[in-house]
Amino acid sequence: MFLIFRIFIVLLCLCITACSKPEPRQVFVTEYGLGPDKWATAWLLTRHVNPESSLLLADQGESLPAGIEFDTPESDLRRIENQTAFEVTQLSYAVEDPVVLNLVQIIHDIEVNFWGANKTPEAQVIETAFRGLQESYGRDTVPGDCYLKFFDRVYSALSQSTAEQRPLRRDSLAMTCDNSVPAPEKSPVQEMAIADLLVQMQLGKRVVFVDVREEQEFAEGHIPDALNIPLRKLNDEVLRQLSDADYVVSYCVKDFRGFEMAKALKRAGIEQSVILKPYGIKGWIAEGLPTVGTRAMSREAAFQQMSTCVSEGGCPNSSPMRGI
Amino acid sequence: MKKHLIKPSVLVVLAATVSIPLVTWWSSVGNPQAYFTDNFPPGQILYIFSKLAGLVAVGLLGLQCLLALAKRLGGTGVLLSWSAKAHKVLGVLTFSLIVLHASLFFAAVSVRTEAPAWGLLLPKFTHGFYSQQVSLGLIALCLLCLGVFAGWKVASGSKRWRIGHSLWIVVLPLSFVHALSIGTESRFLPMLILILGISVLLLLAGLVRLKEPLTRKIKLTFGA
Repeated sequence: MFLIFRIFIVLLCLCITACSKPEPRQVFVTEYGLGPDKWATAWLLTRHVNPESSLLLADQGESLPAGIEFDTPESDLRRIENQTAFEVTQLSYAVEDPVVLNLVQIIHDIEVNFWGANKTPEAQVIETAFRGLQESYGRDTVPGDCYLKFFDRVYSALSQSTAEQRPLRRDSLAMTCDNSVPAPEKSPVQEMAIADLLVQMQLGKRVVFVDVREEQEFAEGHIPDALNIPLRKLNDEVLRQLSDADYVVSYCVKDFRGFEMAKALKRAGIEQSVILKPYGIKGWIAEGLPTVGTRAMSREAAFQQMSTCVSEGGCPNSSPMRGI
Repeated sequence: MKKHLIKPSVLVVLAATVSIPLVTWWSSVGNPQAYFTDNFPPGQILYIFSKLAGLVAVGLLGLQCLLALAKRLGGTGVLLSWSAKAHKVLGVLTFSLIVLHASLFFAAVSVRTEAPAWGLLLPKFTHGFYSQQVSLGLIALCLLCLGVFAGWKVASGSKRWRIGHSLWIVVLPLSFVHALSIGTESRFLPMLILILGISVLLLLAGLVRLKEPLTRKIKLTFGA
């Protein structure tokens, strides 16, 4: 009888031990990549599908660790024709969060619908911020956690803009990745994304544009309110004029001369000296921003368009960078 | 008496013509070593060496023309005269620098825009001031190629190519206008003095050169 009791106790202990053994933690795996679809999917899986799960990344070409694959050619959770991996994942796990559903359309606009007009006004803002993150931290070196944090920010900004019924603003997506090391900045002059510059202008920062081209080139077309200062005219008076600006943006056609001026300004103590990215007045025009001059817009029209672009954090007819 | 390939007086002028652009470039660009070690925008290093080649070339081109003209003047002009061999050496050097200037600029723009800048190779006069001035430089380069070829033919004994070698009369002003209109450092004071100085001397030398046959003709006509 005592023996039976002991066996029963042992079996009970074994059962308790077996039952209390934790489920293995769910692991999602993919190759490291650069597209918004991949990182939005990683965010959806680890934040909504299973917040207890973890994410493992393999370098491109290396074998994947054990786990549930996504956004790889062999996985079920991958882009299929006109459906993004994000959308496939949302449908597979039936995530019905309204912000996630909105994000499905946004990711579709960015990754699939890039030749057509965006159905969501937020797509351009989010894509620009995503590319800005890659520029800030190095295109191939943004840590996975940083991307997840970015989509956390996107989620909260989208929730807020929907609740307040106002458009999504670029500055609401501004963030830093605490655990990541920004790309080493060896260049003496910072290259500033035009979208970021517009955000700074929107925030009321004083941005001074310095057109370093010759007088005749300046007359034909320049950034509204730009000063015309070729490199040879750089003197103490000019430096005094520029010293209280939050940003001094030197530019020319493709920023060969612009960079030399920005470098000279930095050397002369103007720490906030930057150049445009994409480079020069060509980059400015490519972003759909206005210029004033005999071969460009009138002053009034240019200022009106500029004001719209600044308030919206970009221009309606701009052509954001596409693809990876 | 030992015959010099280049007279000391010419050597002084040559040294000034090379050193002024070098100093101007260095004061503008700074120590170029940083362009090799730091992360500068794509093509910037090609651009700064294109500038250097252009600055040195524009001075040498003017000097080459001035020295060639001075040889025929006699009197004080003899001070600046030099041998045909020196003329060829400086000519080849100047031509190489001009070709280098154009090639490096083409490469710099191609690297910056991530596509070959074929558009730079076609003259454009309706695309604004900058394109016009680049086109002037391009035309000057094409004419210079003809002029250099003609010079080589003349040196090989074909006298009828002399007229072709005279294309320098067109090439030089085009080059000076190109340099002074869009060349950033060409209007720095030392460079401006160099270019304007050479221009004035060339003008004077040209006038003296023209005066000789004219005086002779007048003497013949009026029997003076």
